[in-house]
Amino acid sequence: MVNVTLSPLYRADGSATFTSNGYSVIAAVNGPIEVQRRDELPEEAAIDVAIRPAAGVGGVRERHLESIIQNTLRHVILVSAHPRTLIQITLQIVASQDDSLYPGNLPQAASNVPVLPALLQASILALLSASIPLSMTLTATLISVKENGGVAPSPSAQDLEAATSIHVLAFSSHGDLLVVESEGYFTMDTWEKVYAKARLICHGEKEEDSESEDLSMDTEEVTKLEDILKDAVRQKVAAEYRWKQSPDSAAT
Amino acid sequence: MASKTLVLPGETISPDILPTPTNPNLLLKLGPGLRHVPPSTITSTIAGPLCIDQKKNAIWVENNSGRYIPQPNDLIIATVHHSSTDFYSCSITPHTTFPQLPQLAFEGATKKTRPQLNSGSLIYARVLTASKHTDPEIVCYNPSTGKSEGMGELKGGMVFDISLGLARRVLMAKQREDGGIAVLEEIAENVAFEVAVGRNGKVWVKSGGVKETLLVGRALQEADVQGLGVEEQVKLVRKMIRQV
Amino acid sequence: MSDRKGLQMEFSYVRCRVAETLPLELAPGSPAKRLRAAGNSQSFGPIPGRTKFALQIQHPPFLHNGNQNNSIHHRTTPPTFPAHTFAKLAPPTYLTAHLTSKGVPIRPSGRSPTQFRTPTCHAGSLTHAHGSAVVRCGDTAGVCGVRGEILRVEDVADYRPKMAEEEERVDTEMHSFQNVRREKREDSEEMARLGLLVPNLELATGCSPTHLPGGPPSTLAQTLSQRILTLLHTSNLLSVHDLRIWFRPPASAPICRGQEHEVMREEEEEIVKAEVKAFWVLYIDILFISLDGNPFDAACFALLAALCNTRLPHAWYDADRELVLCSDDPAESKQLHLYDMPVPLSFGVFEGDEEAKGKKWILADMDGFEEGLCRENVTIVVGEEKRVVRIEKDGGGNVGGRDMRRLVELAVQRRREWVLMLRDGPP
Repeated sequence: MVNVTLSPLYRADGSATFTSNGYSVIAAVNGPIEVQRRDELPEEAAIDVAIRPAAGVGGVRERHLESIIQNTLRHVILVSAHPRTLIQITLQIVASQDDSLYPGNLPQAASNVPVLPALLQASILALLSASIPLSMTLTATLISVKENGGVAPSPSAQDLEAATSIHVLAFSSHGDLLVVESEGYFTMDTWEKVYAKARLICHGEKEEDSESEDLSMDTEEVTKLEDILKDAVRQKVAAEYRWKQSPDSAAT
Repeated sequence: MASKTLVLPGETISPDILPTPTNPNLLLKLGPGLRHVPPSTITSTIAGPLCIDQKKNAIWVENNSGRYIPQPNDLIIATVHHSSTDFYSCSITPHTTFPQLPQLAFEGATKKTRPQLNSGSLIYARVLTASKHTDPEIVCYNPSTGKSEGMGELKGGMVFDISLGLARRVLMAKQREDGGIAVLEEIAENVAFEVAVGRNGKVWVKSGGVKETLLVGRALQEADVQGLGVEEQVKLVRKMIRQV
Repeated sequence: MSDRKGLQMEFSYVRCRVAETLPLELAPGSPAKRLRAAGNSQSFGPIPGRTKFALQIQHPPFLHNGNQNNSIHHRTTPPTFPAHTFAKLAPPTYLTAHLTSKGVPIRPSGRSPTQFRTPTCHAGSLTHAHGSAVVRCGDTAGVCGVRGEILRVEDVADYRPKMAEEEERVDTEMHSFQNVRREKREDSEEMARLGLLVPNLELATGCSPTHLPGGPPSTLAQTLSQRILTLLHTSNLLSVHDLRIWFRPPASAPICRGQEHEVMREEEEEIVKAEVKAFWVLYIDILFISLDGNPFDAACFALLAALCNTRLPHAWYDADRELVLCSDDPAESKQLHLYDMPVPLSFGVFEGDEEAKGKKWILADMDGFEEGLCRENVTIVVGEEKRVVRIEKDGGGNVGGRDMRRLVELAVQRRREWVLMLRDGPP
């Protein structure tokens, strides 16, 4: 269901596509490159995120998403490794569920939360592909809460429409909570349930001494997103080091 | 080489797998992709296979992608962008600050005999200094001997882009054994050509004719993209030579 | 020349520690006094404006060798700087020194880490707007104006009419929880599609040193506008019911916005077909006059205060003239109904300077100085009955799932204060 490719674009320093749950994003990273004087930071790399929507040109919605991603990546990228430079991340939304949710033009007030996990994942994959030094990796997921209080991971367009609240949570590879965008009406008990579920999906393990028993039943079917990330890198490395294996395979 | 474990950024390298030096005074060398977090943690910063050299007491993460970051002593192919009174400003990678090449940093160059380079000329140079806080400086001679050692302006020929990993492999002392590159040796049996490889992912090729030049460049690029092993490379080269 | 170079070097080797604090004493115009004047009866520790800090200069080793004649050499006692110089020289150290002083963490503004600034508000001061408020929260001040404009359905490109029958069906099935939910969703979707709420946030030239005159709206302003917009739509603040302008053709008097619903109910049989002829579009403009941290919370307070104060004139559709008419009699105007009061509380996480390794402080309602030092931000918006409307967080990994409940508690506490203030006016 989750589809990842690393380095599909050959002119960019790093690139990746991420497709999951009806959202598809292609990301390109260029950097470290020369930075404009007015954006230059003396002790760290400036990070520039540009989001292009599936249709039309970016507006205020995209600026908001950009600032969330920029703030997050500033924490993830080791910005001190390349001072006075720019790391430029361009994210093109290829497909999104908004198309089926809103026939015609996407209203500005439409929720911009559902596409966020795909954007975050694509950008981190592109950064991996560009070999930009990072202090950690991150994984993000979308969860909706049904009217009966049930937690639905990777909701469809209908689920999103019927949901009482939707949540995006992102975790670092150390298990820290990096990003939260929750909207709707919910209680903290619901949120904690969502948190535990999201952590399970992203990071794979429950927080120590967390007392949520109701999640234990559906543990086994979850492939954690961190493994998907690692698999993508493994495939890329395998392709790059084919020349080392091939003499043996040619001989046999 | 020892078996490779794959690391993602932010992973802590367990002290058990660090190389144990025979000489206790030998310091552990951290290569690219690793950083030391005081007091004694080592974490990875990029994704790739972790490589360990027991003999040199070194550990690093290999990577084949991304932008070239200048390192001292790297051989690179640069383009002259413009010249000022004392320096040529050259470009190694697009959209980065221009490294400086002093106009007198050529073999036997004096104020009167220095080479005149126009913008757009190609040069084969060595990175003298590079750090994250300063613009890199490159030179076209070996400062200790004063000899050019093959560096200087590259006249004629063509430049091809290759991946950083391939450039590193071609530059290895034992190309065929360590780097797994047989393309150049194989072509050299039939065609005479001149080649200069830059760590910044560029290869300059000059040969008798355009066809031969393209043959060398294409063969390298093909081997790079498809990740061909030594024997496949030999096959590829023979096929291409037959076509020429 | 060499002297000057030496001094520049010196500053990069600055190590600071708190040496002494002066006894409690109020300086005129100091932040502590301002807070107290705002009705805050908290007792304050060291007065920030008068705190003295000593800087211990560690000379770089090469300055000692061969630089014996340098003017730096004979400065053996650590020099002292006034607090504001210290704050400029080493901001993280300055804040850390405050937060680690004498056991009780206190911020430069004199607040405790989780204490928020109490806003002051003056509503209804703009005469040309239907609702307005001037709000001040510490040194962050803004004006919010709400103006209703009429959007006729003919001007909507692909308008899907909503019949009166549908409207009444909802009323009769009020008991069914599911239907109410669905109806609510459809309403808010209609509101979003038609764009009936148009918030715009502007940061005035000179509101803070970082805002240069001219140029397009900054990313901050755009982001804030978008956050306000999504908050308006995801919370149940307003309903599209109150923004519809109806036309009911039969003999009964033209009625607007269901205000005389009870009368309607009795005449239900006679009504053939009522239809929506126009909508009120609310243009909500927020202008920041001064910016000293936490613009989102201040913008929300201004927004709520202005909406509480908004009265839309009575409007009806005149079938003969095919026009929507408004009455200019203030007595006929109607108070905009707010269904909920979503109250935000923003936090920043301060990680300390190099010497406070591993420590973190969650600071509620940051001022501009603190905002420059915190990269991790959390905003929590709570509605009625301790329900959470939004949680936003980015920029770091210090606030985990377990801290969130505590932060929500604080936001609930703030909501209580705000609601009292908005309902009853300032004390």
